[in-house]
Amino acid sequence: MKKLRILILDDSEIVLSMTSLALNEEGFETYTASSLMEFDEVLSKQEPDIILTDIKMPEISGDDVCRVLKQRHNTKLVPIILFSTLEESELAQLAERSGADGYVCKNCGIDEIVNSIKSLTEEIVF
Amino acid sequence: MVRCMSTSKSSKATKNHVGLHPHAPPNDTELQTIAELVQRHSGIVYQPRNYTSLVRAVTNRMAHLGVTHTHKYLMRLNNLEKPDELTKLTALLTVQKTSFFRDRSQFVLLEENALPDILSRSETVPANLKVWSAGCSTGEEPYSIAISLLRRWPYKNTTSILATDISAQALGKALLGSYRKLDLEPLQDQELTFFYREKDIWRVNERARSIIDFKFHNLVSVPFPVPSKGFWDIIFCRNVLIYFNQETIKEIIKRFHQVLSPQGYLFLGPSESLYRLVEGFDLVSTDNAFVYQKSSPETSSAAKMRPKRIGPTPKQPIENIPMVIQTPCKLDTSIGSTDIDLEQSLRLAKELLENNDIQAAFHRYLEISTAHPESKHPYIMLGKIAADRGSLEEALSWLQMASKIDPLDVEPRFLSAVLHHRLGRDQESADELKKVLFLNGNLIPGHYYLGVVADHLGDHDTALRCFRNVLKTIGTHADKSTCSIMNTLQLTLEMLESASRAHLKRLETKSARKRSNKR
Repeated sequence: MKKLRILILDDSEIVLSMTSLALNEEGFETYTASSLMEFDEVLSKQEPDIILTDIKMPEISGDDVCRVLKQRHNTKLVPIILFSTLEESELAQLAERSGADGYVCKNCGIDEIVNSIKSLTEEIVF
Repeated sequence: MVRCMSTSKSSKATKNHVGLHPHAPPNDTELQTIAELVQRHSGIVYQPRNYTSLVRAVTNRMAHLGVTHTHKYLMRLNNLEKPDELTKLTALLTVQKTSFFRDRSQFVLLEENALPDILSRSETVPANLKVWSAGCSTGEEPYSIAISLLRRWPYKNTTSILATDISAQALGKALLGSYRKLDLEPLQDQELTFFYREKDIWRVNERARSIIDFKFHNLVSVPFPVPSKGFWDIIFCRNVLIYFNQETIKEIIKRFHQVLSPQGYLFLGPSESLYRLVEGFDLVSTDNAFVYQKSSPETSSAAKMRPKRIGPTPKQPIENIPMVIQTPCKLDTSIGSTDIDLEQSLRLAKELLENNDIQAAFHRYLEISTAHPESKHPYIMLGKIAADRGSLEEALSWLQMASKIDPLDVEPRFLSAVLHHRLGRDQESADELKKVLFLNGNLIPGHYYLGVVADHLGDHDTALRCFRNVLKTIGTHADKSTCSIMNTLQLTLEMLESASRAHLKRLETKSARKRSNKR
């Protein structure tokens, strides 16, 4: 079976490395980007099945990333998950307003993060 | 316990001992004891016929310390709480004779055969090239390797060399990268472009210098270093094994095998051979040089130690390679094919630990780590034991091995962070703790330690947030990792709670005072 490819955008190298490691262990293929430039570069070369983006980043907020991608013809069908330390209620609202396909709280520990991403991908992709 | 000599006495004695040794030289029994201590510490074997150099080194150290009687010096060497003296004596005993491009034919083999082979097998572009120079002495070897690699392979950012040695003094010189003109004689014109001149001193340029990381490492007592990703492509350990006995050599080679990439290369000195000593390596030779290559999985059982030839036909038969080690010994380098049951072995080792037989437990965990290199548990335990006896750097290396096996396990990461903090490396500690807390946000000791470390680093906002997190999280159910860590550090939740409250009170008062001063 083909591995699901997840592109993670986050300005924290720690979050990128740990999340990517944990998702790899669960059988996902991951691409990481810590800046918009890297993000665009990955998107120009790869076709991720899902995009996981942080919200609070220095260059752009994750919900704006989501709005932009949902307008581009080549990315509008790619499911986007917001990934943040914000309170769940706030995160849910932001996801709804920006057209994201789901959200995951960042501070619930890696096991729960991975489980949430897994169940979201099952819901979204299949 | 040894009392320190007074400064005045020490300096007087040192003066008296310049050029002559008025005290009685060590007798044979004393020398035998010292030789045993050195062997236990470093694996280096001293036979009575080599006692002359031992006497020279011992008298040198005694004169330096102002110690006039060998029995007093022996007490210093025996002081387990301060193993520094044994390290210093050992450093004096290891001959540091080296030169740039020593045994040049090996560098030709490196550039023309080994390097192209590694690059052709690499899965990344450009390839990440990882080399370890074990026993680097005063730096001539790792700098020669750097020059060799950089002229053939200009990708400085993906090339790294770890250079290690047992002598802090030699490492200090290596780190400086400053040499006399005489030292540069073996170098060819093009190689001299990697140096620049400052009066009478020639310094290695930044291009070659920047790819080398110099670190202290004892090939006998600590775990072997591994790169941050993967394993070593090439290991140089030339003219080092001659100091060890066969048993130690076998152990060292076994460890080299573990940390080498598949089909990675092991360069030994021209008079050092693995012939009939270990399996798991193929001998690769050219006209004038040879190197060992870790057997590929397909050939490992069928073609162990079978010579493989690259380059033109040899002028000399392979059998002419000097063989210093000739006792047959089968080395089990296969992974997971051993009959030792992991859980049972861990249980037995734990029993030894519970019975306070620390030394035996340490050895048992070492054996388990060799038999089950895929298991993180022995490495965590080796780290804990080493930390308990105060060998913090060693403990850190064991824990890093555990993290390499299971990067998502918070326990070895957390313990590494505590050790970094104890070693005064607060930034490394904070980085590791942030990873730990991302992996498990409920880890109460994680919040507490990040608070302490952030406070040390002057990041009071983070410190305040962390101590508040301790109080916020303390009511939640303590998970398995929290319990295990608390147990290791002999902490209780009550202790962390009251300490966090005290820190919070102090930090809040401090920031209130700052605010009022601003007004």
